Order: sequence, then structure tokens, then C-alpha cells
Amino acid sequence: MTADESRTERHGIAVHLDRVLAERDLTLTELASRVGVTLVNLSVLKNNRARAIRFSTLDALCRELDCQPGDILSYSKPR
Amino acid sequence: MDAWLRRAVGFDRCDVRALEGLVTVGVVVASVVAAMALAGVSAIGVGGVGSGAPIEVDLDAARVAPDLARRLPAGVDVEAVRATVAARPSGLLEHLLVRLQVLPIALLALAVLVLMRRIVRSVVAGDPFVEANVRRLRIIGWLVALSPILLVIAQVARSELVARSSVGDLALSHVTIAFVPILIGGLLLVLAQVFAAGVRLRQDTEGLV
Repeated sequence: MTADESRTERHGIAVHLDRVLAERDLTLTELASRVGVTLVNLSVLKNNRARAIRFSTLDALCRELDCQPGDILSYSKPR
Repeated sequence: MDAWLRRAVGFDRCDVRALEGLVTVGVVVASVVAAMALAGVSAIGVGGVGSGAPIEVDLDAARVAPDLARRLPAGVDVEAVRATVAARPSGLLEHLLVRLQVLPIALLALAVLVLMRRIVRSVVAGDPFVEANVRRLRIIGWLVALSPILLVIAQVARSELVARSSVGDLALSHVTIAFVPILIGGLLLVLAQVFAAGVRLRQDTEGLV
């Protein structure tokens, strides 16, 4: 698989970080500093451009947002 | 010991831009040598187009200097006498033979250096772990591994030129195959595989949050 192909890889995982942030009245910048992930990387995650997520990142997000992984991520069959 | 070696060799101060400059100089030199070889002008004997360089040739000592062995201490045996013969190609075939001595190797060196320069430039750009570099490394590996074939062609061309010269019947003809380039080529092909694994790892971590 070439780099270009992997960048355009389609998957059915959707990230709902913006919704969870809005529910908790938090900004992405604030969450980034609490979680210890750069704003750029968190923005990549929020905008569904991430290809993978570390358990440690997911763990920190769930801890800081007081939620379950299922609140942040969901799966639907890609069309 | 390790720190001393690093200081002596200067790896710590090795600047990739200096390396790029060095490889660029190599590209220029290889281009000039290839152009001269194509024109039939040697880097050593620049006597004009088609004159070629003096060809080094081993002459049969028993026939050229039969009394030489007698003048040497006991136990010393002379097999060949090194001489040079001026290459004065006349026909199309001889002009081709003159060019075959250097041109293939010069073109191979040029190709390797151009590919090396592209790899170094990708390092300068900060993105060396790409498929293109794996391909370049593989091509360099194959070129280096197959270079002994070009060396054999050059030796055969030289022998044929000598055979057609005035000392043709006195010359000793021998062809040697270099094994070190085959080993280095193989090593480069192995490193290309390692690099390919690095590219896959890099693709895996790309977009990892």
C-alpha cells in the first residue's frame, strides 16, 4: 500500500469529540493541555483525519471528559 | 574507544548538506568522465578525439625478456612484464572497443550518484522514509551487484584492443571477476528491505494520535 493510498483509506469509525466537548463546555485547547496531546494532533482526531488512536490517549480523553470510549467513538459500515 | 572513533571520523559533525554537495560534485565528475568516454577521449591521455589513453598490457615475460629471469635471484619468477601500448582505433569496431573500456562503468557510476543525490535530497527535505527511496536503494543495489559484468566487458574490450595492436601476439590476456561489488550490492538490497520495513512502520504511525 502506498502512502497516498493509506492516507485516503476509508474506515467506518467516527469521532464525536466536538459533541462531547460542547456538552462539557470545554475547548479543544483546554482538553489538549489536560490530556497531554498537542492541539494539532487532537484537531486531527476531532476532524476524523486520524488513522489510529493510542489506548493511552483514549484513556486520558475518557478520564478528562468523564465518559466511555463509546461516547467519543462510533462505528458505522462504510458505504 | 567509541567516542574516540566518532571524533576521528567526525560522524557527529557530519552535515547532510555537505554530503549533498559531495554527491553533487560526484555527479558532475561522473558526467564529465562519461562525456569524455563517449567522445573517445580518456581522462589520462587527452591527445584529441579518438586517440584514447595508453592501454596497460601484460606482456609474456618469457618471450619479451627471456634473459630477465636469469638476472633475478633464485626463486624469483617473472610471468609478465607491464607495458603500455597506445590505442589508435581505426575502424568502427575499434572505436566502439575504446568506448566500452570506460563508458559503461562511467554511466553506471553516474546513475548510482544521481540516485544517491535524490536520496540525500529527501533526507535534507526531512522525509527520507518513502517508497521512492526504497526503489532507489534497490536500483543502486542491483547496479552495484551487476557492475562486475561491466568490468568484465571493459576487460574483454581492452584485451581485444591489445590483440589488435602491434603487441597483440605477445600480450597475456586475463579476465578477473570482482566479488566485492556483488557482496556490497547484496548488502544494499538487504538494506533496501530493511528500509521498506521502516517505510511501512512510518506509514503505520502516520495519523496516530
